[in-house]
Amino acid sequence: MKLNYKIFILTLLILLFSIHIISAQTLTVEEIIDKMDERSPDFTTQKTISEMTLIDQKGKEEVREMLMFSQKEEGDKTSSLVRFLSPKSVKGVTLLNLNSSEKIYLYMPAYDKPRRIAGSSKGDEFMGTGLSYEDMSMDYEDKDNEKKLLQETEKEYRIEIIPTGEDTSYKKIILSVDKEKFYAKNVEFYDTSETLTKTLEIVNIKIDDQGKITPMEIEFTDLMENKKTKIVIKEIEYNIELASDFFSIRTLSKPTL
Amino acid sequence: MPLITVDISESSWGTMRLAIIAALVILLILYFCFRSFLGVFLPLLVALLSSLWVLGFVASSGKSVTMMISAMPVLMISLATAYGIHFLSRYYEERHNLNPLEAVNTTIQNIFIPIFMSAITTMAGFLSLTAAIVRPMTEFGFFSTLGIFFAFVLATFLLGSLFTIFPPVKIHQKFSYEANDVITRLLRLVSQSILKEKKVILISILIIGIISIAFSTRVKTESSMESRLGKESKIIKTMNYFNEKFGGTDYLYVYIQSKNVKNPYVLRQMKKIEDYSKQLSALGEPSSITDFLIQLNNAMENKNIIPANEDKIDNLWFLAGDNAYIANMIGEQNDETLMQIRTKDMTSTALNQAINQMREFIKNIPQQVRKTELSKINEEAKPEYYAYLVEEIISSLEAKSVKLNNKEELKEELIKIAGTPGSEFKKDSEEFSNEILNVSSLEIEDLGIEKIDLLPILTSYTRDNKSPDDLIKDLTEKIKLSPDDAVYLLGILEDSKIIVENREKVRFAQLSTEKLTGQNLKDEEKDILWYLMDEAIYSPDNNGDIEVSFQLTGIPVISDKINNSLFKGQVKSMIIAFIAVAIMLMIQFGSLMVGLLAMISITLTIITAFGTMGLLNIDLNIGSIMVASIAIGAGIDYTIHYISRYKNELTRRSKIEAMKITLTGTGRAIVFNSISVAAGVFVLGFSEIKMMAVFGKLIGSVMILSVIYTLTLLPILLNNIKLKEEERSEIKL
Repeated sequence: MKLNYKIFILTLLILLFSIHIISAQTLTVEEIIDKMDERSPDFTTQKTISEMTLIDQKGKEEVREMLMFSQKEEGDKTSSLVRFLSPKSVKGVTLLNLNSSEKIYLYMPAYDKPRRIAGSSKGDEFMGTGLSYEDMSMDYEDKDNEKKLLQETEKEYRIEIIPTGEDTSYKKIILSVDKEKFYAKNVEFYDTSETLTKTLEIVNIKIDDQGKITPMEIEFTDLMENKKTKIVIKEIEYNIELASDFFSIRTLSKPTL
Repeated sequence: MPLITVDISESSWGTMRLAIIAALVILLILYFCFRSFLGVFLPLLVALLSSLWVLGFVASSGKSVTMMISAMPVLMISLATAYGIHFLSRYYEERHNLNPLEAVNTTIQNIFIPIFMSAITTMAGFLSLTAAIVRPMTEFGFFSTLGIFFAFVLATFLLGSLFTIFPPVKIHQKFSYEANDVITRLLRLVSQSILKEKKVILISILIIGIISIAFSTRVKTESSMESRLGKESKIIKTMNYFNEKFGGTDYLYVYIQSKNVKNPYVLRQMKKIEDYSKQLSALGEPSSITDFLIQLNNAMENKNIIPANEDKIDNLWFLAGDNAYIANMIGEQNDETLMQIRTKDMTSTALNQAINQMREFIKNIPQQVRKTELSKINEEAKPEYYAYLVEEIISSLEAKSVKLNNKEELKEELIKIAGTPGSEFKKDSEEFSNEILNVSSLEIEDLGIEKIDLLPILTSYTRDNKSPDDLIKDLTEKIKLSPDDAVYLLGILEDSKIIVENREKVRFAQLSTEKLTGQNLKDEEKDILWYLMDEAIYSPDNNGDIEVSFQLTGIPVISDKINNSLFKGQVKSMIIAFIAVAIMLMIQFGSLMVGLLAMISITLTIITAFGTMGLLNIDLNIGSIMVASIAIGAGIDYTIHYISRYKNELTRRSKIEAMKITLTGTGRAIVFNSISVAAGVFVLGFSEIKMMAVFGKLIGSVMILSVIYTLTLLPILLNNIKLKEEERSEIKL
């Protein structure tokens, strides 16, 4: 069973907020990426309420609201819990992802018992969104990835990343980094035949007192399937107190979180 | 399908090539008949020009050459030649006594009316085809009518003017009354037999007629691609290949409409229809949204069924619905969906039967039901509702082709089980406790404890009917759980216990069912008994708020409809043609009696044709079904020519003399005509397309039959009535 965008959302949100891309004032790619990393918020736990809009080929929209908790675990792993708040038909459906998809559990309120479901593999596409884990992982700080500064314009740096991992589905990924604020405004995904297949755009951001940047509105476009996914963050809190056994099956089926 | 279409087009062009062969065959026969170049060339010229005109017309009207239209040049050559033959034959006959110009005048005077009449009636015959609902046949009817009209114009005006300008010098001997060739001798023999062996002829015709009627009842309708094209056809081979490899090239669809097709009742009925379709050998591999939902439900709670709970379906849909394929299987308003069933069988009889069985099955499904929550009805009323549950179980099992003996007993038993509380299925065994632990394994694992440690505690709790507090005490003391965790685990174990009790209850119902029906159930059949645990009951109710409609559709259903409309259309066109021709003959000959007599030989021709089809196991299909109409249209020519000549001769001669001269004069033209037409259409018998081949052979036989009836029965019948012309000749005498 492929688990569509519930997992994707999870991964998407976790990873977008913890973009490990580092950047610097000028010159080298490494410095730019270091600088980007500096600008991303530091947190161990976070809570967000977001609204996701799926827009299909015919322009039909479907809106889902969800509540998400996440926590950084040892070894750069993340655990998270996503609960759908609306629409009514999915209200209460909850997903628990332990240690970056090591284990994924699903709880559906109409069924009493939670179920463990298989985690998706890196390149698997999430039904309905056209996104894969890989797309969202933005694991660009991987030392093995080849990075190259393609272009420097008045407003942005264009950085090309060539994934070197064996199971990658992309030939290259191009980031457009805002020169002033150091965040990836735009990400372009090119498939193995170098065709631009997907784009991710950060439409809106929030800058806090320390100058840390949080994306507030993200738009993802699948050019092949002509589908769009918009995510708007309605509430976000960092470093909240969570019980030590919060990321557990017990929490999964709790009526209120 | 495009490939197959190309194949059909190629075969159609093959049929067009047959036109050339038909022309050559007719050429030879005409030469044998007329023994002159003109006798060969002129009738053929009429045919070729008229078919050329028609094809030009087809092209200019933007229509494409369909399988039916491709047969037209052949048909045109066969039918249009006739007018040329009659003209020539009469002209040659007249030339023995008259000079060229007079001969043309007399010929036109004598022949114009019969040719016109026969053209009109043939046109009426073809025009009646336009009453058919099937477009290729309508077009065919229309263009053939046009072709006949062109042929009539050409045969009279073109030939008339040609003979005026270029009169032939030499006329063959056999066109005089004194001729002694094979055909003349044969015709003389016929006239002698008619005079001497009248009874024998009549009785034999009667016997043939009766036998034909008997055989015509055996004619079957068959309009599958295979019967149209033949088993050896490339197209059929391709289609059979696809059938084998992909389980059928056509789909049967069930279109489902309901306010919410994700309603459990609707989905369960869909599942039943799918299961039922698997029972029918002509159908297979049904698929619809139910399959995904059942799979997901199985993943969630190990039950291969559509859950009765709407919330569960909503939850499942959340998982399945993001799949583009599944999402597209359902309408935007959730008010429609489609079930797809492959059709395996190529013969339309088997498929029709399957379609009818499907229709019958669907008809028996209640289309309006009311949902009742079991928790909202009092205990006394419950058995009544359990009966609906059990009814659904039984119909679902039967759809899965489970043969249920002792149905009534089974019903009673299942209703009893449904009403038994789950707690009565509790067991004291360790096995029972173990199953509870298995059901709770995720939570137990999550708490970081081992099932094996829990087993003795749980067993004693269930066996000794301990209180929940006892269990909490055991959990905190023996396993060192925090009080909070212990309460949580208690809740989990209690929930799991209910699940396990229900499993026992259903297992008991499965065993009872197997015992009562005397057969073992397969896993997915067993799962149907989970319906006993339904909390919502759907009962047939004319005021119920859940309505659903199932509609069979897809190419097999459409072609089934076409077959029916084809048949009806054909019967209609035959009747129209028959009546039209009868009326026309009555008006043309100014006699009710003559009109009726003329119809007798035509009727006999049709009956014999159908009899032959029955005898040779030729199925009635889009091609062969036209035989009747064409038999009327083309066969009427002989009658018209015979009667006109006969009446004409009667004004000068005695009945017997008139008959003799008509038989040898017009009779010859009729025989020429029929032989050439028959030969021409018989060429179609070599067509790659089976339908066309059968069509050719059948029409060819009908032509010959028709001439036999015309030249034997008609003279006898006419001999026995008094005609106006006869009176006139008597007065003259």
